[in-house]
Amino acid sequence: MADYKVDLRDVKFVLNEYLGLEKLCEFSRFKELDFDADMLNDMMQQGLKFAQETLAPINKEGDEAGAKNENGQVIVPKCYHEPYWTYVNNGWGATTSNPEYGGMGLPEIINTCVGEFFSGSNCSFAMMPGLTKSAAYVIDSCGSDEQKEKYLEKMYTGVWAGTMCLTEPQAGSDVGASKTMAYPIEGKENCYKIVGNKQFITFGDNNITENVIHLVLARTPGAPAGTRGIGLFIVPRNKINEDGSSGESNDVACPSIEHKMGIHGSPTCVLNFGDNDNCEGELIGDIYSGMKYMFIMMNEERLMVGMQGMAMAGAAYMAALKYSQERQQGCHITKMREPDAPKVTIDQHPDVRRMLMTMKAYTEGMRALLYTTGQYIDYGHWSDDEEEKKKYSGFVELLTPICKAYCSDTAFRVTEMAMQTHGGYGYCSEYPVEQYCSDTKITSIYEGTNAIQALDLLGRKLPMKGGSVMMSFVQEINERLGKLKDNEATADMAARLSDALNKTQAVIMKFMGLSKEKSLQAYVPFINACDLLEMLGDFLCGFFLAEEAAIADGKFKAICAEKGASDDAAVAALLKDSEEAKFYYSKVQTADFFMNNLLPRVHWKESAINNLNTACMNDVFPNLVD
Amino acid sequence: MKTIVLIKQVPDTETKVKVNPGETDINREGINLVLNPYDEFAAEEAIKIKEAKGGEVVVCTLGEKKAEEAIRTALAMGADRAIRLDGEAFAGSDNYATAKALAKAIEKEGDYDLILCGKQAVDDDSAQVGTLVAEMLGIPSASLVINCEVGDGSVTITREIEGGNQELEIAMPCLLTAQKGLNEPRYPSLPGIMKAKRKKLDVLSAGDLGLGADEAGAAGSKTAIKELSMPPERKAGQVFEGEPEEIVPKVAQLLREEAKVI
Ligand SMILES: Cc1cc2nc3c(=O)[nH]c(=O)nc-3n(C[C@H](O)[C@H](O)[C@H](O)COP(=O)(O)OP(=O)(O)OC[C@H]3O[C@@H](n4cnc5c(N)ncnc54)[C@H](O)[C@@H]3O)c2cc1C
Repeated sequence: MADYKVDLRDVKFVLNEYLGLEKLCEFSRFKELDFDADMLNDMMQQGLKFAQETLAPINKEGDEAGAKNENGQVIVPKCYHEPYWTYVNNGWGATTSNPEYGGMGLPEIINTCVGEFFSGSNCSFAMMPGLTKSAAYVIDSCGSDEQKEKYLEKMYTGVWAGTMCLTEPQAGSDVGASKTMAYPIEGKENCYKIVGNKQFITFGDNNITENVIHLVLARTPGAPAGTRGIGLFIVPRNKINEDGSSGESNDVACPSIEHKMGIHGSPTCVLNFGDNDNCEGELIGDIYSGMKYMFIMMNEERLMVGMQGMAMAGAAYMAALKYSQERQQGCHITKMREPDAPKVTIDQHPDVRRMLMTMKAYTEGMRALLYTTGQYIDYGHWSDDEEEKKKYSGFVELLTPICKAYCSDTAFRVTEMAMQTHGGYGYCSEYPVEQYCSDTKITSIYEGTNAIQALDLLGRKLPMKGGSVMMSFVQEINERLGKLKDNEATADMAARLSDALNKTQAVIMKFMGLSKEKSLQAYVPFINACDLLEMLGDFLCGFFLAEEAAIADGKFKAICAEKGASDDAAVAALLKDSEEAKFYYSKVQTADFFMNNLLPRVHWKESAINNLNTACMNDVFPNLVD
Repeated sequence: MKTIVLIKQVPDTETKVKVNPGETDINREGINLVLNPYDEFAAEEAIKIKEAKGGEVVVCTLGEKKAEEAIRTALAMGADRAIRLDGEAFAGSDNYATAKALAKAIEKEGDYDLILCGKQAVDDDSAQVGTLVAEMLGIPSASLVINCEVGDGSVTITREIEGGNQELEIAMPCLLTAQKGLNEPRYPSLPGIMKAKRKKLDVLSAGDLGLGADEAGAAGSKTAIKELSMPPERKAGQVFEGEPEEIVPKVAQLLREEAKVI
């Protein structure tokens, strides 16, 4: 059955009880909209309804149908068409976008929350409107007024789709190696002939919208090499007529699409620009600032990709939990020797419970990380206080590679564990975890592989502004850890977290020193950059879970007091009786599990890194290529 | 054309209902509440009629403050304004007392052409309130409506009956209860949700409706819930193995003697 389950109680907890929306509602931008917790709740409920009733049922269907290319025409699964129009017509394609051009102007936190539902219920589908929104946002932020007039409304309302075109066969991680050219057209200001081939372009074409607006990185003749010489061009699939409508073909062709492991409903396109010397593009902003502009989109997408991972991990965990409560196999561990012992459902087996708890802890930790970052985006964009804006924008920059890489890697492991929980049935496509698992894998690869994210963290984000952003972030975390230490329920967790943070910081310091080394040891930071990123991710997961646990513990104790549950038996009865008590209790237990069983990975990594081993840099691999 | 839509907020259909021993309501803790799915059909129909003919759609519910969530859903779909009946006096209302309060509110509102509601609420499934309201107002009603064409002074409807459909023409004002199939309820749009908050919502008490102390709530009810209980847990099934000649007589015997079905 096409079923999308999300732990709505946890989503509500993060939004209303953990993050709180009070501050956000006070910002003038949102006050004007009357934005408040009720409105957020209404939007959340409706987003979830759409995800469950419309997107989830076509998740598998779209996957099986797959995107096709028939004689150069990209065919998107038929079942996507009508839901696409419902989606964009109801405003979901432009939740946070500029109201001047048809956007909703809502806070990012809405986008974060419904983004979980949309990506969790149908990742392939959600990608097309997601990319459109971000591509339009680049034009909104850096384009000319004329360009905004021309493109924004049609894109924010989904009439036209948008894409990002960076990758070329020789330019993957190394975007600067791009060869696509842009030749100035004489007599036409800002207008260029585009010639080149792009690779792996998500929704590079579709048969739903009347036009597709590509944002293409290209270089002009004589431009400096590398990323410093790249411009960003708006290249519509169909030329735009004087009256603003879509006109004749703009010489953008999609000769083929990729066959791949997952996200089959999303066409991954080869795009040829200007095969017939008739492809025109408009330059955005400054001729050599293309990378800077494109990064606006990439940063949005990186967070979205982290969310895709988390969302599918969350859905896979829920599917595994439900399955484990239905599937009978074996008898209870304490009755192993009794041939007539009754069969139990697999959620009674300790190893299955370990998997369930691991999935639960990671999912909830990632959710808190991503929702917090969503809130920081709102603070960074819309706070009426300039200092606050700067502070939170910095935090978002720092957290972006962690959200992207940590959540995508962890999510894949969670979906794999969800499959493991299902046994053989999980490997079969009759059950949904098989698709969650294969759809999730791409998240660690596109939008800059996780290695590139780790280098971004190590080389740009940690040293950003002389290291002051990281320092201010750590300072804030330490203050908050102080509060957790003062709380009996979380004191032990806080001590473990402090230790983990100190070790992570020590590794960062060590790396800074090593990079000056002349020996092979100079490679150590690069060999271990991904591990460092993961250390920070694990720490943050634990930190958020502990803060949540502090709140949950207070509420749990309050319920116990109110219901007079003072001994173990009464508490056990209360947990059976009261969903709320059980929810809060489980938050505390989840944090406790994470601190004991998963956080120690930070220590393990620290000691491994401190061995400074560089064996992999030696001449150790047989050569397979002549 | 003024259409009044009667709505109710109910636990969503995925809820695992729990009953605490000795209590006369389900355990409402942590339950996700939504607009009754059948009321969505009613709201959609009213909005479609308004879009075609002009006029106004007013939604009305009896319920606590929290029920405003369901009201806002209907407003976000496109209803124009809302009335919520609330107050201690309504506590413990059964179907009869609820219908009475709604009928009073509708009379007070006046000038209506059509009243729409769901065929039943998916929580108590009693399917009485709509028809009771029509009786109290002295207007004709039809239940289980799956098609509805508004004409001049009357509506032509199709309703589901055992084994087939029935077509009727009914003079307005009248009340119709909506069955699945009447339409495809729209999803509220984001602008719709934003606008819903600013639409007019009147809260009326029993006093505002002129209901006496013995006419509302438990006192005005004809029935009282004595106890709620969960259905008994299903016993594990029995599997018979062996040759058909051997087991069929055994099964037949058990069906006759234990299950008492043949
Ligand atoms: C389904 C799908 C959709 C995509 N959608 C888009 C899209 O819409 N737009 C777009 O422009 N692109 C898109 N891409 C391209 C994607 O972003 C690239 O595949 C990705 O950036 C990696 O580039 P590559 O495939 O060339 O791998 P390579 O760059 O060749 O990388 C191969 C391996 O080497 C590692 N590596 C490379 N360079 C370094 C380095 N400097 N340091 C450390 N490790 C390194 C990588 O981490 C990776 O493990 C998509 C790809 C796929 C598969």
